[in-house]
Amino acid sequence: MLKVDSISKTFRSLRNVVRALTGVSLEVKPGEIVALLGRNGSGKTTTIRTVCGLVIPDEGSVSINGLRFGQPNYMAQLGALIDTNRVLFPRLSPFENLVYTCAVRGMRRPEARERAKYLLDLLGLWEKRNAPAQTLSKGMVSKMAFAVAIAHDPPFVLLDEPTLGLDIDAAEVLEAQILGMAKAGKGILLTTHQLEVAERLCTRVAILSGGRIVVDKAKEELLEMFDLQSYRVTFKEPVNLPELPFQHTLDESGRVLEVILDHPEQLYELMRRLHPRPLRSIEKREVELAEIFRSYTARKESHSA
Amino acid sequence: MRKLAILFGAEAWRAWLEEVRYPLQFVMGLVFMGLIFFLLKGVAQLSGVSSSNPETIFRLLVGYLLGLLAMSALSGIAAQISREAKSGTLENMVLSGHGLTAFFVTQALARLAPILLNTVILFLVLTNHNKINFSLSWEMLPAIGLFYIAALGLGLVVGALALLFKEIRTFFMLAQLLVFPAVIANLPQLEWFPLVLGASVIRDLLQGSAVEAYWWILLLAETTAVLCVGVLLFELADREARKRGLLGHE
Ligand SMILES: Nc1ncnc2c1ncn2[C@@H]1O[C@H](COP(=O)(O)OP(=O)(O)O)[C@@H](O)[C@H]1O
Ligand SMILES: [Mg+2]
Repeated sequence: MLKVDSISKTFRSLRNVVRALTGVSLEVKPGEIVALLGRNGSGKTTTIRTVCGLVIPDEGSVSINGLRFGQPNYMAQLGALIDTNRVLFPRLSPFENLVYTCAVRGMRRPEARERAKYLLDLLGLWEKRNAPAQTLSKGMVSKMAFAVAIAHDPPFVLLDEPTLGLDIDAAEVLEAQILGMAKAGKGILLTTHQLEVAERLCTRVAILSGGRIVVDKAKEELLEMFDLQSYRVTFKEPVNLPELPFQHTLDESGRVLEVILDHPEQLYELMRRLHPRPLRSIEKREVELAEIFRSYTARKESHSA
Repeated sequence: MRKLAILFGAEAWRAWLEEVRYPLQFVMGLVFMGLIFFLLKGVAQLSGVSSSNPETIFRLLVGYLLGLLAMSALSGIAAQISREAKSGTLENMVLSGHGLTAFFVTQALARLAPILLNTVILFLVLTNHNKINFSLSWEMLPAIGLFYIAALGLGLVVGALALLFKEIRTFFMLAQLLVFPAVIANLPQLEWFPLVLGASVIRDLLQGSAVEAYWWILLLAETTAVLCVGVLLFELADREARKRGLLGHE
């Protein structure tokens, strides 16, 4: 199991002090895909870099299968994609880049070549195996970044925005690989801004806001919880809304209101406030992860504001 | 130990690929360095040194080549750090599970072969051209080894600065301005400085004179000290860079 245990991190420089993480805890079990979501600057990358040992936290610790950072074999448990744009030795071909990555982690040369060939095949890059790294397109480089991250077949994989800037085909290839890896028992932690990607892939959702984890739940549980709180209210005619203390949107016709309550009981409060506007219907509706995300990050920001 | 062997194997392979793919660079480097030597000789002549004096030319030649060797070690680690930061491969170095110190020292050693080859070719060509006689002995190996390790120790200090401050090109220029004259001129006031001491031992050996045990011990002690300081500072800088979250940033 990969365990992040209440890490805090403040970056200090001469000019400013940035509190990036506050008491962040997370777990990734084998076979799980955990989506770490958050707006820009919420601390996703810092969390991932801390697990990789690229950032030393002020407080807290990280362990993988009981090994702490700094112990031998900690790194062998881990593969990470940190930057999809910059990952290749420019003077080596894709094939050589992968052989090197495997070899430097201790694979014998024939084994490393096999693995490199397998990965290039898997991601549809075999044709480009000998092309100079500088001639690869952005999408190909992103795929290579993924290949480098999983080159040594580690039990835990961290992916920071893996599908950023990929076209649909390439993203599909990558998503299929991620699902396959989880099925094979790997634990995966990924960040993304594309919430539909997270919704398709993940089994668990953790949301960071202002450097704190504001929710950490199994995806099904989270969606179910929100199902009890999400309603669509249809009016007989366009209405002007009163002040509503919940997250809500009124569509352009002015007749369909979608709300997310903080509690199912607030339904009474909603009805009271909408009275006496003429209702046609009120029904529960399914929410998307994007709305849940917005509800958590907006709420947090209004608290801190 | 096994880990270091793995790392060295991978790095040597990469060095081979990167150098072989650009053989022109090797040849051009050779020609360029040869030309600079003649430039140096010309400057020496202008300032009144007789170029027919084999003693002076010998001193200039050995100093120049050792200066090149020292500079490669001195700036090599820092240059490699900024290269890896630019290509984004520094993070993967860390993820490979080898410490950064082990990584960059191994890398420098893995890239030593072409540099040594370069130095030896230039030495043979230029001594032949200038009709200089020299003597070879087995003691040359530890002497050059210690000279190089001391330079590598200083290279780690420069590398430590590169990890924290990124832009240190001006520093390189200054280092170059200091190292070459120090190694070539062999001033008595600078005799204690590790690189100058190593260079004078090597020069004595090439001229066929024996080197007293005292100088060997001093050289060994200084080299060990410089290497230890280098490793220590590099490790400290590595830790500091991770605390500031700078590692791998350009
Ligand atoms: N090395 C650093 N030095 C100073 N501030 C940093 C550093 N790295 C990240 N930060 C700051 O920490 C916060 C979190 O950044 P990051 O983890 O990159 O967020 P995200 O990946 O969620 O967009 C941001 O305010 C960012 O500016
Ligand atoms: Mg980020």
